[in-house]
Amino acid sequence: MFGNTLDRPDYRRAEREAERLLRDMDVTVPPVNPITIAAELGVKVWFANFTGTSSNVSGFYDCKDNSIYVNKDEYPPRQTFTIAHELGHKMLHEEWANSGEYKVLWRDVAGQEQDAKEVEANAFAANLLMPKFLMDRYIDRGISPSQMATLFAVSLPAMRNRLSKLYGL
Amino acid sequence: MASEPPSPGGERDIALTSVTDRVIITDRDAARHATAGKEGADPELTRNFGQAVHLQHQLDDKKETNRYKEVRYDKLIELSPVIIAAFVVILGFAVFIGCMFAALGHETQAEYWAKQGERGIGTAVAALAYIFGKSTK
Repeated sequence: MFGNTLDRPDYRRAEREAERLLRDMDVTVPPVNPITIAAELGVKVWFANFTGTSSNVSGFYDCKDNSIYVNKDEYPPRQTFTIAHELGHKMLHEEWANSGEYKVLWRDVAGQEQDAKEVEANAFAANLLMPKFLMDRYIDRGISPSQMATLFAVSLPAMRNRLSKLYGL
Repeated sequence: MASEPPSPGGERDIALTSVTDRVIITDRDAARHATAGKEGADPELTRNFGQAVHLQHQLDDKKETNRYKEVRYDKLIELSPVIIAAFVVILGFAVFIGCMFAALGHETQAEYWAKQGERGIGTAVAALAYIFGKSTK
């Protein structure tokens, strides 16, 4: 039902929505805390252990109680990204996220990268956690990628990817 | 009655909704039921954000310190001609006084020392004029 509505990821929309959210929340300095943003949107974030076959789940959005569940065992920057990713689904694909076609986020995202919605949610998360207007403020100050990652509370690979996309670094 | 053969994927299959993409597609209900010990916060994540905020403050402090240093440096650069001029004023007056004493001590060369003293005071006055000219701009 929802699979055919989106063939290619709409990066611009993901960026626009993230920027709008940051503007609405009056975010002016890093780090961007997606838990605070989720709370403002009325979305509760839970940290939980996933057992059995779901132990490799990074997180998922539960439409029943409008909550995001994050795997407690994952390391903090990954949890941050997972929350932002699920917020992306809530903001960009709410109808789909509330449907049975929704997919939970696994640690191994290799297959999910192909899905336009997952790519959009990732783009949303990157724009939410590492917005260009905040990155611009620190990029020319001789700060290492590692420090940038700490500053924005994201993983080093995520920061490197963002630096490469925004500034070709 | 023959029983149904066990699923090759075992328990994992219960969590999967699609047989075509067993690796990534799962049932949200399965994940929901697999959650245990949920908590509203994660101390490690909170600490991580604390570190980020701390670094942000450090960087902002550093930026402010650098800005202050830059302002001071700019001011010093701007003031340096005046400082040099002030030094020339002092030197000029010192030369003048020195020459006056020399003229008093060597009456035969008084004219020579008076001339040098005049030059000294002339230089001091020119430097002083520069300072006043600069401050009125």
